[in-house]
Amino acid sequence: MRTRGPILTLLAVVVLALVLLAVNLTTAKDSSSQAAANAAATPAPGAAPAPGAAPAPGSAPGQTPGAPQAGGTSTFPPQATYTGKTSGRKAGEATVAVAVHNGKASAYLCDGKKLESWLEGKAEGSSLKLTGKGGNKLTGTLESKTVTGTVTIDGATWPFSASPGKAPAGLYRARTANVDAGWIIRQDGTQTGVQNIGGQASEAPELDPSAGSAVLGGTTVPVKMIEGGDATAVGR
Amino acid sequence: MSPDMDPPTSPMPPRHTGSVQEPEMPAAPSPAPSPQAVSNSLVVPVLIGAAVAVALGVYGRLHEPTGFAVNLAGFSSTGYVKAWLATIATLFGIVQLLSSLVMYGRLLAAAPPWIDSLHRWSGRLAVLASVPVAMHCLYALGFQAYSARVLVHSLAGCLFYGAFTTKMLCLTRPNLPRGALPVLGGLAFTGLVVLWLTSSLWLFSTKGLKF
Repeated sequence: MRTRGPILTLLAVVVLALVLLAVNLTTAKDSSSQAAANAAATPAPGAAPAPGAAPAPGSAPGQTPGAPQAGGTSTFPPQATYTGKTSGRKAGEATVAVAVHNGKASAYLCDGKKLESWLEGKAEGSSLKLTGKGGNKLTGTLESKTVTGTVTIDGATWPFSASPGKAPAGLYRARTANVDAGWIIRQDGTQTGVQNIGGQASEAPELDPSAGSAVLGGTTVPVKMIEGGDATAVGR
Repeated sequence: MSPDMDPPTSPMPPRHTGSVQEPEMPAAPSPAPSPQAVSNSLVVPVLIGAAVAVALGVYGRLHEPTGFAVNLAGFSSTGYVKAWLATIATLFGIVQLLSSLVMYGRLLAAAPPWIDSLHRWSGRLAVLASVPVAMHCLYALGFQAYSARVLVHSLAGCLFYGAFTTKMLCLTRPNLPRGALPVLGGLAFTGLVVLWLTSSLWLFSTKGLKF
């Protein structure tokens, strides 16, 4: 007569894990079928079909850029957000996020202290090419749903990697004539932000992504979630 | 030192007089077990535990992180839900450590009769509290290595569940080597504490202590 307690404990752990997994899978199915529906509804004008694919309109629904790809190189879906960070930055890693919308891309990098940069460009096939002020630029490749690449800010270059996130994960920007602030919320809910008030950069106050606005330097400023290609237009 | 492996003591006491001191049971088997039998009793649990640890790591590495998973209401973000659940698990883990010390006679002269139950149930609660956190890590984030903290955290997660599984299985075996349960419990406790340090403490210290 051995004790069954430990086995029951193990079973309880396994059952709880499987229940959570099942809930996750169900939820994921809902949101991915929704994404597929969105993708189908938007014939994606600029959503670059894979090179070599017949550009005929209505060609192969199976080729919808939003369709999940089995590992390896994939093409950017019509709408996606990736968040991650640099590696090898001596002053502490900076947070990087990229939003892609129908072939247009916006990216934001910030360190939560004073370094920050907005970049805009294109997402074609599986590659990203964005540029920002000065010689700032970001290039990357989508592989297995993860974006990896390099980002150059003020002459320094760091590799970065970013993985897909769902709202509220993403890039946020608030801008007026005097204030410019940006935030990145990562998949795990943590956030990094920098505000520029009258040319002075500092850590941005915590953003409540559901509020739609933030108080910056004493004024309430509307905050926009960046979808891709729309970052430089905020507040202009 | 049996983090979640609460049940450690349970198996033994029942077989023997049920005295709390029985965890020293390994000594009890002295009547006969050949050294061979003693070490054999560890083989299968250790192999299965190792397989669990490797499987978790491989799944975490191969599964494409969704960046998102189901969440609990009432917290400011998923990160905080996980941080607090992990904190609960770690607190129960500390109860595990203390209660096992009592059971092994290292802390109190006489162990109270309820210490076995305390050890068993605090372990169960600890490991159950950890499961939603681990599932979110595995499903939404995966095994990552983009910084030392994240790599250590990923490895500790695999170690913890591997050690936990091994310990649970060991509890059902006769003729365990004397130090097996304390070592396995210690491994799981170490894993749990490292997990907490590399996640909850990190979040609380970088983003503030809140719910």
